[in-house]
Amino acid sequence: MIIDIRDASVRYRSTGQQVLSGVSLAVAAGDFALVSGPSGCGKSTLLRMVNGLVPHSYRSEVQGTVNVGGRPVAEQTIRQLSTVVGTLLQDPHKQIVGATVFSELAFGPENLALPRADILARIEEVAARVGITHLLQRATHELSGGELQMVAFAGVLVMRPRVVVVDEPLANLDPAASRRLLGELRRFVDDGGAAVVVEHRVEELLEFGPTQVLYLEEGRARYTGDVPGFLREAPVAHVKLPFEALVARAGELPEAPSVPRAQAVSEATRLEYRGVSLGYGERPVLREVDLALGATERVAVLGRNGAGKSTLLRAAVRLIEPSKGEVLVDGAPIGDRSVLSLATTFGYVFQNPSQALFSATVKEELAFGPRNLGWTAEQIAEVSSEALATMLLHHEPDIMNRSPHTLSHGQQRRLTVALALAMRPETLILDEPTAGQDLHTTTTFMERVLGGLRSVYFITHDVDLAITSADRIVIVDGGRIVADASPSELAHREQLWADSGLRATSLVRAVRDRLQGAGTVPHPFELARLTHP
Amino acid sequence: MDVTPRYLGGDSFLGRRDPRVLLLVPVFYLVAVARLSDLRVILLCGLVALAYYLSAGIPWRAVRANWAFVLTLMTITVVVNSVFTDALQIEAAAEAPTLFSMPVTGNAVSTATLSYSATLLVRFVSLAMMGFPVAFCIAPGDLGVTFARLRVSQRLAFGVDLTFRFLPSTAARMQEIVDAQRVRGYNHPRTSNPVRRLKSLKPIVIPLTVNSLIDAEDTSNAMDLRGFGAKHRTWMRELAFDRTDYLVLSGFAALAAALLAFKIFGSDVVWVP
Repeated sequence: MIIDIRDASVRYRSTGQQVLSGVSLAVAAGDFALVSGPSGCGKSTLLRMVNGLVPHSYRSEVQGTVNVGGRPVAEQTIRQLSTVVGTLLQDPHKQIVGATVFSELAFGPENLALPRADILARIEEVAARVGITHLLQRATHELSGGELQMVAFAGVLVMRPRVVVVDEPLANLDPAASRRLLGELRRFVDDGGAAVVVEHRVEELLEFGPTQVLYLEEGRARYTGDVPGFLREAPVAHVKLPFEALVARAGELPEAPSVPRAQAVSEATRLEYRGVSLGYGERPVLREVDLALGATERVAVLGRNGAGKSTLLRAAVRLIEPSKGEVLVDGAPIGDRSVLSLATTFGYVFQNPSQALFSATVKEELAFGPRNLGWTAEQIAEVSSEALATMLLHHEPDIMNRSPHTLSHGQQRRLTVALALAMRPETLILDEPTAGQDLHTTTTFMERVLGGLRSVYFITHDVDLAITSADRIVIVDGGRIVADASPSELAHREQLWADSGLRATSLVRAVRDRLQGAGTVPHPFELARLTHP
Repeated sequence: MDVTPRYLGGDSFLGRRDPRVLLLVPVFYLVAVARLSDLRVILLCGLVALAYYLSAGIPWRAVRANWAFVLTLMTITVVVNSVFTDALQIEAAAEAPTLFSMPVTGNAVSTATLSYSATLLVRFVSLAMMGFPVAFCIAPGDLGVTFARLRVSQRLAFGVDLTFRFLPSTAARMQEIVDAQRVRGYNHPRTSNPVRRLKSLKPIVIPLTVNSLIDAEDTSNAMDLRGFGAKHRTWMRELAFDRTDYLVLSGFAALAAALLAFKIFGSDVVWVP
């Protein structure tokens, strides 16, 4: 047994918080374990327990049995554990320390003080295995997100670990890049290794054949067992299950959450691109884009990492200027408007909440934007309360006087939307609003956002979110718009999904097989009920 | 904002040297020119520095903005400290006849003042010329091993290496933060009041600091998880001095020794023409 955890509990000394209680996990060679559960359920702590960060780096009390490589983790150093357990972090930018791919791959074996010839042999073997030999001399800061994650994985494999633990591999990657990574992980397991993957998006993992599932809730194991059992027992509102599993459980599905739908009350165009080319310095990203987005539309923008999704929407608020063509807002060129004035038309919400939060209190944070607009104290108080209520944060005790950094990650995300809403925009633009969030959090978040404004444009890698939440989907690839249609229409264009690096999920296939014509797609629960024989 | 470390002199004479040479030579040069007062001697040193700089093969177009900044800063520093004011208390200035007095400050300027100011300027500029090859002729991935081979602690050596590795990503993150605040109406402060200016940078500085601290902890954990921190470590990059390296180092060591002796036993005073 490589990992043998029995009845383990963890309490962090810094916060006094009990994060795991009586959890067990056994992983042997050839095992592919999936660990899932809502945000804050203790998944990351479980990984830290396996790789030794708990208790060696994070001061904590651990009870129960935690053996890795046949020995208690507490009796091994992190360095000793590093030859048994390889860890792949969610964000490869934080993992990669080498200036070039070669030096990155050499880093681990160098730390083990291996002879140079051995290190070179390992690097060549692993690079060939994961298909990155052509990248070896490249600078790591030049790599795309997908390449970076693969290099990080190679940097783990080169240590020749017996088990690889992976933290949310799908959170920051486009479907094509995540499939490549998971394929390599599966190959590692087939070659005699083992893997533990923490992930919310269960469906994407299933095709890589996990051998067991551990589902955690509030630090306790709610399910431990094989995949078929998990598909029968998993809470459907919290775990994104394959559509076939929903059909099989159609009888027990709850009412679908009521995601407000846009009413086509206006034909007006809010945002228009006329022959727009965008890029950074001499690097072109998008070429001659023609696109018009409506004033009452919900539009999802999909595409690979680096395709130019964010670049496209940032041009709407003048965070990037076109090298060619013209961007119009409400029929007028945006060249005449400042970024601040555009903030009352578009509320732009960035992916990472910590990039925006800087004030001592939520009240001050909410006031920053409106104050820049020159609004009075009374107006600021009014819009702040409204924005908090829209994002369901007003029930939090003494919310206005709390520091934004004391809120949970999910609450911080909602707060950043409230910051945008406080400037009373007509349209919200969201960059990866639900990346790394569990299904329940995602559903609640989108309900609030879509209920808050008639017009929302959002960037996402989550195909199902786009299909179920948007009236219209725009796909960006190869520097241009390759598709622009309703979710239902797009689902029927089979080749498009593979060509643009996206993945036709079971929901996409179900829509293709069961729904005809254009228009919006019902909630998966509704569709499953309609489909159930 | 592109702050990617630029490797500009890779094929030049200095680019071919062991990177330790590029770190040690400026140290020798600093020992040689520190507290040197005689303009004639420092001019000779300046010529040596110029020859050294030219051998780095750094294209002028690529660094002219850097030079503009360095020269402006140094000129202002020298003029303010020795011409406008007598902050440096140049002793010889009192012995030489006064040429004129500076308006506003009333500082008396003599030929000795000008001679010493020129000495300072040449010293600073020549030190910059010795320093530029460190920034532009050492491959970014070689910095860590270079420091480690100079017996600097492994953690410190990697600290230097990582600083350069994370410069581009920190700059990118800062740009993201600036953008995230601009859409809320943030504008770069236009005030000249330094306190107000600092205060108005809060929306940028606080998120940047918080994010950098989180990133630093995660990266430190990631390094530990790959076995970093052991006493013995292999460095794939092999460094070896060749004959030319030894010659260059010996030459600058001799220069340092000679000028040190000149300053201690000779008559190094401000030259008054």
